[in-house]
Amino acid sequence: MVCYFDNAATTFPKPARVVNAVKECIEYYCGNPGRSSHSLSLKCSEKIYETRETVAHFLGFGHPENICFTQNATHALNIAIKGSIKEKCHCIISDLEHNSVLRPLTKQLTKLGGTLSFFDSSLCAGEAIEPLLQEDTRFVICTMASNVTGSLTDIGGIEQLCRKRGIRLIVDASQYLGHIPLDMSRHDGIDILCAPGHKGLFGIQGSGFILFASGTEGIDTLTEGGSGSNSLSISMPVDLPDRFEAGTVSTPAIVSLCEGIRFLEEFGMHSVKNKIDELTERTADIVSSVKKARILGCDNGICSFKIADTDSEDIARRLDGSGVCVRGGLHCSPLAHKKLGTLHGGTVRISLSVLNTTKELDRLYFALKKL
Amino acid sequence: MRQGWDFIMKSSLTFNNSTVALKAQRQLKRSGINSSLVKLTSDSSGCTYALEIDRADMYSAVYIMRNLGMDFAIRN
Repeated sequence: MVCYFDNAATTFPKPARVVNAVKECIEYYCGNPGRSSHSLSLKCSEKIYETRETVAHFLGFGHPENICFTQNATHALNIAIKGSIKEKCHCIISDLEHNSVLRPLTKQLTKLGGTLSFFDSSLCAGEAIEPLLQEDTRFVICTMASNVTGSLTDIGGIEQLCRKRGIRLIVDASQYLGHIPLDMSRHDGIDILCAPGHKGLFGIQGSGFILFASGTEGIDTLTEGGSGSNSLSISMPVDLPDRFEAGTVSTPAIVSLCEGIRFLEEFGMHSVKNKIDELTERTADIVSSVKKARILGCDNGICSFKIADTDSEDIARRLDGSGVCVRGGLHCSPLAHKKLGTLHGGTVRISLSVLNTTKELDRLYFALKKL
Repeated sequence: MRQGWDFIMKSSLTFNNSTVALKAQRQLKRSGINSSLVKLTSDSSGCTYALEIDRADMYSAVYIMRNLGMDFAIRN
């Protein structure tokens, strides 16, 4: 039995109720949602709407129809970035961004001739962003929690600043949701929230969503195609969620997201956070006890470290030999590694889920000692 | 199975997509009004889903939908 500590990439194992719901869907009712009048299609539509309501409720958000399902957070961020930024402008992102923000944004700004600045995520929003503002600053795009260090960005401060300046705020909640409670009714400065379903929310791979908190005016579609609605029109429907859900969505993945969230709600998000905090502290103690280990970030279920100058992938491979799954390398976040000074060799990342146990951490301890 | 009398006893609210129709269905259910979801052929009005409701409940249903600001049409 392996000990899995790569939950920031994708959570494993999934709760039993998630597995059962996916199996039931595939075995008994997986028709094409929103397309046909037969009972299986209608049942899928109902299940998908149930998930929209579940996600909305989980996030304290009142408009389930403003939640569009995507394949993952990258897909959601591509919709948000390429659909929103349509003319030459200046954008600001944090120095911790994942390639899911950096790559589509760079491509879009290069195409339009726009410019990009990076803010220091370790400072408060006013200090970090205010000096970077330009007359043509239109968007701030930032992660809520780093996938390399687990550290949080000052999202409340960023919201205030963006609201005051009329700047649109797009957030990547990939490493935040499922670890820390989020109540969107207290975050009215967020315009668009993007998230995967297969990480902290315990859905399967192929699940994710984009939440349009302040409407979709002026936001273009990324893909066009069948929506099952308004079929006589040659354009995508204006109504949500159909506008941003071209083609068949993955019902099994969406159903899994619903059950993953229900699992978290049953566990209680405050209990989830407490357990992850306890496991994180214990992980920090274990890693600190390893000779020549240097922790570069340890927070909210993530612990990144180096051992002397050994390549992080090499350590990850050796831990795998002891049945411990961790991730080495740059974690698709070169900006964060540039900030940490670990572009060469990357870091070893232990990322936890609420399903990890202290017993598993004991195995991690012995595996690290064996290195 | 749709019964012959349904055409006389039922009326419909129509919606642009299944999500809006399902949202409306849940809102109506909270007010004690039952409805069944039906797919329509997409026409020039763009409505592709309908909620079939007992005629006796139509007045209340329309009142609820309007109060919620929902986009719908009535089909007899």
